[in-house]
Amino acid sequence: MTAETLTKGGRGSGPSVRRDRLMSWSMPVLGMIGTVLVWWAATVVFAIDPFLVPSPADVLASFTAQPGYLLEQSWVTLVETVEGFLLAVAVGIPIAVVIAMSKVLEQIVYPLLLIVNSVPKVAIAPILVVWMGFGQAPKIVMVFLLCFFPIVISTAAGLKSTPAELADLVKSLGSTRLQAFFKVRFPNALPQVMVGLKTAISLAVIGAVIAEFVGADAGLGFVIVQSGASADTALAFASMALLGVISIVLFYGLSALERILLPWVEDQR
Amino acid sequence: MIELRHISQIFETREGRVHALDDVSLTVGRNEFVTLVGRSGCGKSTLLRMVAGLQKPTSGTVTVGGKAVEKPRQDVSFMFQKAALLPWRTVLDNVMLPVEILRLDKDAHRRRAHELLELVGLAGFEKRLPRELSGGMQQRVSLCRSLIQNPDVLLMDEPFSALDALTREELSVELQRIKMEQETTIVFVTHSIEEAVLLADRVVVLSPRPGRLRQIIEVDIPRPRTLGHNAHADRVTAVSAELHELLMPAPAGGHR
Repeated sequence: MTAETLTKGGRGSGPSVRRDRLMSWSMPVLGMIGTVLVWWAATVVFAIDPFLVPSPADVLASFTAQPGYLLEQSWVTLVETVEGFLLAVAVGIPIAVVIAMSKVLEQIVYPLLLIVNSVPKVAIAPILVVWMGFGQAPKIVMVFLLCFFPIVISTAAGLKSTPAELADLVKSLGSTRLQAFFKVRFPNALPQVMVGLKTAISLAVIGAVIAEFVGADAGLGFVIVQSGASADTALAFASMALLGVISIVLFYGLSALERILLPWVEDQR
Repeated sequence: MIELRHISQIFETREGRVHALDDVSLTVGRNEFVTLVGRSGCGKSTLLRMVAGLQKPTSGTVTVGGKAVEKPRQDVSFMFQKAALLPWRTVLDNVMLPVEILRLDKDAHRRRAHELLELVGLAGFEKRLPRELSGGMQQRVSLCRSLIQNPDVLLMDEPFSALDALTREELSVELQRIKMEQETTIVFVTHSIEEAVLLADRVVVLSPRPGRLRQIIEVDIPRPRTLGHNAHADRVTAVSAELHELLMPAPAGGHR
């Protein structure tokens, strides 16, 4: 923060700001269009068999052949992802609070968390199927497992990073621990919590797909496994594109939420 | 109002024991404005934190208003070197923080908050966020916050030292004016001679390592004081010079 800023930092609406905003949208779009064109050109110029690498047109055709079916499968994956993510938030944040509040509990819980996190999640997937069958439950649990750790770590770090002067301030007012927590520590941790949530949401979709690979009868992961079996590469690509869309929408949804809920955070996103 | 009796403070550090304060005794009267000056490491901030109940002396007693200081109290407020504003709260809500924590009457104090903000020239900025304010404005908000519960004692730990020289003088003048309007006992830690002379009824000079009470200088220059030209410029200069000699070591080979 510069000492003498009286204007709202980075939120003016002059022509240069409008141009910046236009650039921040147009450049990524341009990059994407460019990539798709190069991909298309490559499939044409090198005459690549669509069985190996389908052209963008093949992928699009594969989607438009059965859009209802693919959107249904996307919805299944999306729901698993969001449910697992929300479960991780609901469990992760209270555990982070416990870790941040008590040194003893931190020493008990932290190594356990590290051990659980160090197990490759793909290795757990088959066991989850054994325990919970082919329904949604193992997918939600897998998403939870992937999301849980970054949420706990970031939240705990945020809760422990209360600036000394703010801690002194509430102390000098004779506040209770609860007051200090709700008035200062927790709000102060929120930007870091958001970092954890954004990391987690990117992993969430991966978790859902892993679980679907191992045993499922629905979802985009299931579609990809099926298309592999029938050598329908274009369908696999279409599914992957849909997964990408889900990931991006969820991530930017969280970013937008952050901007609405935490307008006081310095712009560094 | 404030009584410090035989205060000593020893810190245990990795390099061994550090004698921070050694047998400091001081009495501050009601509505008096006392500045503590001294070089870095003379324990002046430590002394202030003891009065605030943020720290306990190794030996000696601290009383405020006749009662021993055991922990932070409502009638004593503390202003820090940093503005320490909550970035997610508006200016008004920052000023209201002590009211919430101390569970005081909100409506009455909201009116007081507006009055205080007007007093420091921040009327109209109530809805702004701290990051939209300059350093000087942030420190003004911090001042309002430390006055909101109408404390008997206001402790200030180098509150203007992070500001540029002009803003700093401006705020000192403002603090003088506020002090003349509000009945408050103020202890103000600084290493600025100018600030000490401008603000204090008495200047307490501490010697460094271990912090000992070196001298107390009465400043009987009429208020409001300024550093500019006025009828008392000579006396401001004289007291400044005296303080300067106490704080700066005599030049080598010179005689005092």
